Amino acid sequence: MPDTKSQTAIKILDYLKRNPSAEDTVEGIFRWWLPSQHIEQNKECVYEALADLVAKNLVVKHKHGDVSTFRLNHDKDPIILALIEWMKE
Amino acid sequence: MKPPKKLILLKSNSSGGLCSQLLKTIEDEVKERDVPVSNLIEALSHPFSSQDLARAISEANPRMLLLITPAQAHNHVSSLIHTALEKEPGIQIILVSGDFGDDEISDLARSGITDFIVRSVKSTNSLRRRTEDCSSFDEVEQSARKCKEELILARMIGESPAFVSQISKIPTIAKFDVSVLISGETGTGKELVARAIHYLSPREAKPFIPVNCGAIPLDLVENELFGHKQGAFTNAVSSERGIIQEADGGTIFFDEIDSLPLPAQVKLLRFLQEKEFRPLGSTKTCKSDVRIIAATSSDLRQAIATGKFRHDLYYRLNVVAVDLPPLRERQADIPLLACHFLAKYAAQFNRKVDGIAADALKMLLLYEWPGNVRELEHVMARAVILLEGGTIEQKSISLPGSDGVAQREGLQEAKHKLIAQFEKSYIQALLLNFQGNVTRAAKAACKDRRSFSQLVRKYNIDVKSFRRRERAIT
Repeated sequence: MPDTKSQTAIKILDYLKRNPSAEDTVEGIFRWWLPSQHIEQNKECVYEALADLVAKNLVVKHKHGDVSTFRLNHDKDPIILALIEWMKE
Repeated sequence: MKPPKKLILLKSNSSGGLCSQLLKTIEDEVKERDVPVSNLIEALSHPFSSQDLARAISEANPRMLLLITPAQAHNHVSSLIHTALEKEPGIQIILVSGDFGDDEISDLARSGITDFIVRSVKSTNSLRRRTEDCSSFDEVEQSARKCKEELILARMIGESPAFVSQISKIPTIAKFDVSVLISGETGTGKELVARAIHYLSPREAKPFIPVNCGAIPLDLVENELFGHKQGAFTNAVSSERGIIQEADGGTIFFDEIDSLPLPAQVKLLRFLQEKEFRPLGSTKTCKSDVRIIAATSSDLRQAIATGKFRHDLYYRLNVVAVDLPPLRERQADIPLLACHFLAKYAAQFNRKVDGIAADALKMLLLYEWPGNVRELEHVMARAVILLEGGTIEQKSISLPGSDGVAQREGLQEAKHKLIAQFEKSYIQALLLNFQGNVTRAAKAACKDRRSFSQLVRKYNIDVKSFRRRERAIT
């Protein structure tokens, strides 16, 4: 069963919690940050999850030329940790 | 069992300053761990033999060896490395030297060193990463790392020798913190290889930032790379970090590096040499610890010959090279890749696909693939979307060659096809011109009526339809 948008968002945040300095594009996040099962079927979900995370200010989007990368918003670390733990319950 | 120790070897003619720096860096790294530094470091401070080293390794049971030595001791260093690996095959060996050249480092890399530091020790360099590695290093970690390498390499689908010979370099290249130049036609997987190197390297937890040098406007390149200070130019209302600072600790992937304008090449070269740069409008230099992986689909040597690319930058980037073969040179991989993409898009679009028909596969094998793997992926995606029934048939495969663009077929076959197309069009044009009058059309073609009629029958041309058109007009 493919992950939902919120499940994907939690997996992205979980990766960033373990690797707080990580940064990559949508393609890199899709292929290298997330477990390959389920996500393989729903790359669109990753786009939407990242858009949500950026809108909530949990992830920061940087534009470099024609490429955008995403990294953790370090100002929001405690909130992110609390969110991850809550969603895992 | 004794706690693991790190062993430092001090050569008698090494600089005291470098050793002090090293000790300070290690102390800083281990201070958070509840272990006295003296329990971690075994120092040998006089010239010593391989036997001395072997004895020290037996007694101290170290996980890591720091070898501080000048380039003149190259041969002795090789024998020390050999002794260490014989005594303790899993030991990590870090070479620290201010003056080893690329050739010496390549030689020592082949003899088994894990990493090297060739400038004065900085807190951001590989020593920190290796120290962190070492503190948690054990057999389980080693197995986990090996498993990770295999999982990452499994994403690169292919068994042909030309492909495997390049891909198999990735785990080794990832370990060494040197610049890499990846060459290959468009769609051969250069960015995939760059990410594999990054995510297998000690920098995996840091940023990976791809830069398409060809997509940045020429007048904005330096600003994108190096950033600017507030007021550096009109509209610079605040200071902005460039990509090089953004990627600190991580990897920058410069795609289409040959598109980088010459002024930016000069600045990039200076950064590669000094690890320092100056944002636009700033008088202060900034530091950044970044690994550069560059890629090109052009012949950089040609660009150097025409003055479009700096030779010194080329040599700085090309410390290690990966040359990805085009898909037409790895034909054996086409069925593997096709099946992989079939499965991927069948799952994504929720289609049931049983396989590929033999004639469809033949079509894939005969095509030139100017767009390489990326083009094959798009073709298979289209085939899955347009699928009727469970098997991918020839009609589901949409290739530019099926419209008359070059395919990989024999010259005779291609020539006959082209001639047939021409003949049919020519006859139709004549019949149109002479309103379906076969006699007049044949005369215009300088053929007798019988031969012309044979051609009309050969191409199934309905002569009457050309007469009907004439009546419709009148």
